[in-house]
Amino acid sequence: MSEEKTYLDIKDLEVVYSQAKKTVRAVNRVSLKLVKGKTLGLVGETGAGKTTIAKSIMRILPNPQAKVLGGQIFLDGEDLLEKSEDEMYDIRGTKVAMVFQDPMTALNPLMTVGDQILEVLMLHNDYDYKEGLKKAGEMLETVGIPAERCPEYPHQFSGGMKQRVVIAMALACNPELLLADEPTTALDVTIQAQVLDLIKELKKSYNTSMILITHDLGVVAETCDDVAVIYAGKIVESGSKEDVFDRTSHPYTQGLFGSLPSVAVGEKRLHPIGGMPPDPTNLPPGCAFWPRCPYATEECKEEIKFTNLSPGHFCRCIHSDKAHMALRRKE
Amino acid sequence: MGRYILNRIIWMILILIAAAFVIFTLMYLVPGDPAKSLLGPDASYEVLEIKRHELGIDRPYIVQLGDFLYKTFIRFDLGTSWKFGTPVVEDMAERLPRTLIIGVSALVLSAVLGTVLGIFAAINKGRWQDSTTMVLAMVLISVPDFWLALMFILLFSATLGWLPAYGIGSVGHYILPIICSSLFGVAINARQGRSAMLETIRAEFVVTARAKGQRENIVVRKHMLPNALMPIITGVAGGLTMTVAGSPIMETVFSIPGIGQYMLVGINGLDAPIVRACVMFFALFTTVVILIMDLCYAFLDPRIKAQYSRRKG
Amino acid sequence: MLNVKRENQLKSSLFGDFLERLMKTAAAKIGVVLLVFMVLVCFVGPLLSPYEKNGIDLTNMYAKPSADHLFGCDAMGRDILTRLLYGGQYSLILGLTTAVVSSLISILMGCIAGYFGGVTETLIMRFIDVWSALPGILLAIMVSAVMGAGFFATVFALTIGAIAGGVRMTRGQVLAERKKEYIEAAESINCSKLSIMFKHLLPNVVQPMIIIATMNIGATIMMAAGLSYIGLGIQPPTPEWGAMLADGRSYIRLYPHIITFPGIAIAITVLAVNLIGDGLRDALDPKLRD
Repeated sequence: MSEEKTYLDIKDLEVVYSQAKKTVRAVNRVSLKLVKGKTLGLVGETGAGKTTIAKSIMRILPNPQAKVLGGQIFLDGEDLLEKSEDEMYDIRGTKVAMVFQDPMTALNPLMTVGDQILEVLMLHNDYDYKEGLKKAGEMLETVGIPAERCPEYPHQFSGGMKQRVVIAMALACNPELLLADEPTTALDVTIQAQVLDLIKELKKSYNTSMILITHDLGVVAETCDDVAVIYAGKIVESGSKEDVFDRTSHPYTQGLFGSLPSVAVGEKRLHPIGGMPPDPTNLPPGCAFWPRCPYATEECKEEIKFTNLSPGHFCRCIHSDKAHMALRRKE
Repeated sequence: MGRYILNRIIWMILILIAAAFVIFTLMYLVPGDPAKSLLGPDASYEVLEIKRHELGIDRPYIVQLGDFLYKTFIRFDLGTSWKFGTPVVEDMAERLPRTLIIGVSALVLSAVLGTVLGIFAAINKGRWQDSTTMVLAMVLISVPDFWLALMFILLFSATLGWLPAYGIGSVGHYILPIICSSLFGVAINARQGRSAMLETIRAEFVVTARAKGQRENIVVRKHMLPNALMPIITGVAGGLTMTVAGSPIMETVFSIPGIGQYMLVGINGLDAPIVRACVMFFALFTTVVILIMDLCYAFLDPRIKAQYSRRKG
Repeated sequence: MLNVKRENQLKSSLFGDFLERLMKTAAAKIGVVLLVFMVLVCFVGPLLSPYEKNGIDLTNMYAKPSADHLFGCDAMGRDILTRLLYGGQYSLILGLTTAVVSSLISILMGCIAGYFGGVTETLIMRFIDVWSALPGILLAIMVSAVMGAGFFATVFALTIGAIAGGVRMTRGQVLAERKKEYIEAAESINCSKLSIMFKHLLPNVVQPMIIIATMNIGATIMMAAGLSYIGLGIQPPTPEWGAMLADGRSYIRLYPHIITFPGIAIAITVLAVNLIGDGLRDALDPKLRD
């Protein structure tokens, strides 16, 4: 794994949101690596900072509320945070594209879907209008929508269809990196699988690297190569899918598995994580998970460093052995 | 779509007939004897009776109503002024341009200036440009426009002598009335425009457009403005009807012989044909503006257009 | 019993929360302060004034503002400040009464139309269509002509002018709310239509109505002044603000103070109410929260 080329390398990214004197540390010194052609699952609860990381890569954080305080985002060796806005115009949509969470609101209601796909095509290619329209139709076909539906408006499509349009838009210019922000959350369960398969298939044929943001471990199991679990703006565990799924080490990750019906092996009952996610304006000191953690001790209130459990498998917990033992015993 | 428009126009005519009924009944109920008001308090009973018969107001309510509706909607005859003896339509035709010039100019001014200010404020949200615009708009919707008109007369006519204060005659006579009639609309449109714009600034599809690599100024022009325009149209149409409906007061302030002032002449002189004709005009105007606004919506917004097409079937 | 108690607690905390939100915005604070000031001054001030509201004093005709007459005197030597304070009583009560009455009627009609639907709805909404073909101020002018001068006549005229918009809003709100699942839930356990309307729909309609009503107070005060200005509504010698403006109109060049102060009084009162209305909207509109 280490001999493969790292395509995306996020180092110590720090993002804060400030509003009316309150400051939210949305992303707290996050580091991530993504190998070319692979898929990284970014897992965490709502509000953990997943979307913020994706928007930081695209540099489309809401201005002026959000601020990147520090860190670097290397894409193919170049730091995106150092780029000028003009340079970013040529990166967004072509090198990096994004699929949004809610297809209902992600499309402009006053433009035909064809025109919306066309927009991104025309921005980054030298097509004339006719060629562009033809290509837009082809993109629709690729995601399983007949090209004749180009002149229709978003309200004429169902939720799943809209998400297909959004995916077509994202893939229109052959991006090298696709950021999929909970692409299936807003969809019906039956549609979820279809859309997920579509993304997987297209990713394969275009050889795109992808970050898949989700809170659904089932989705991760099906789609991802590597996993990073994020809690309250910090990565708590990261590694290959096998590492994280089979040798789950962080109590929070274990909690996530425990509250999942299909993954909780040999368990008759679900074990939801007790307590509530912390108030992001007032995070507990040290490991943010300690108020909800069954293994918490006084030391947890100090800053916790990553432990390297095995090559590529990191965990930010001083009790990971204990947690690991407990898990073994249960099995 | 064509069928929809036709339906709307038929509906509009029905509304106008109903409005005519309301107007007639209200004027019928106005206390006071028109004959007495025309002939003076000293007129004898017989003379008054003759006058009443002449005016046709000695007939039963239902007969008068039927006569009025028949003349208005079948013969397009708005009657003759009881006091002046002239056909009301002629008097109105002479006055109409003045009211329309002021109304439409004020509309354009308030729509353009208001919307621009609103968008300007939204784009600068939280900065001093935003707060200044919004404080100004707040003050403008709170100050009575006819009092502001008086103050403007005081300043620009009485003190500085730049502009004529009352009456008509030159282009200059229209400047103050137009400005004063538009200020309230400017403020309303600025507020409406700002919130509409803020709503679209927050919209997800704007983020999508940015994620495509679209340049910020084009994102504003192509994605934000068209979407923000929808609620703004409502504000603008509302502003126009407000301006024209408020013309009785504004025309009184500036002594402009327009439709609004004509209506007051009718009310004060118990001259029912004048009042009925004027109010019918205002009702027609309002319904037409609402119709045009709805059609604009349907034209600009595919979602609403789809609703109308569906209704057709 | 326990439920009722809990509900009350919930309500009071919601109300407290709401007040807190309202007072958070600087604008609303200014509005509340201004309004309290106007109310106090208008209702207490006249008791302290040495002048009668209609006390004619021919030695002081057109008197400019001075220590004796802070805002000067009008064409009949009446103290303008005193008259303004009395006028404020009319304006405030008139605005409040009209807003409350028209809101109640709007809510009632809108709820009935929205919840019962069918023929009832069609009738009410067609009626409102006709109603709104005539702009509010025109209706007010005509009704005022029919009803003649006087306080209640004016309230009636202004109420008639203010209802159409409120009915539309209420109906829209009810329709939106009716689609939600909790109404279905309530219907499925056989709640009566009336109890659903009062317990579930009404609370959702009341909040936006409060905002509209507040804004209506300002609009009403202005419209009332406009009516008096053109010789309808409340008439001289009653010291109504619009009527005072109409009185002073002829002397605008020579004695501008006569028309300056009533206008400022209207502006301050309306501004106060509008600021509170804006604050209420920000506090109540969930879309603007966060």
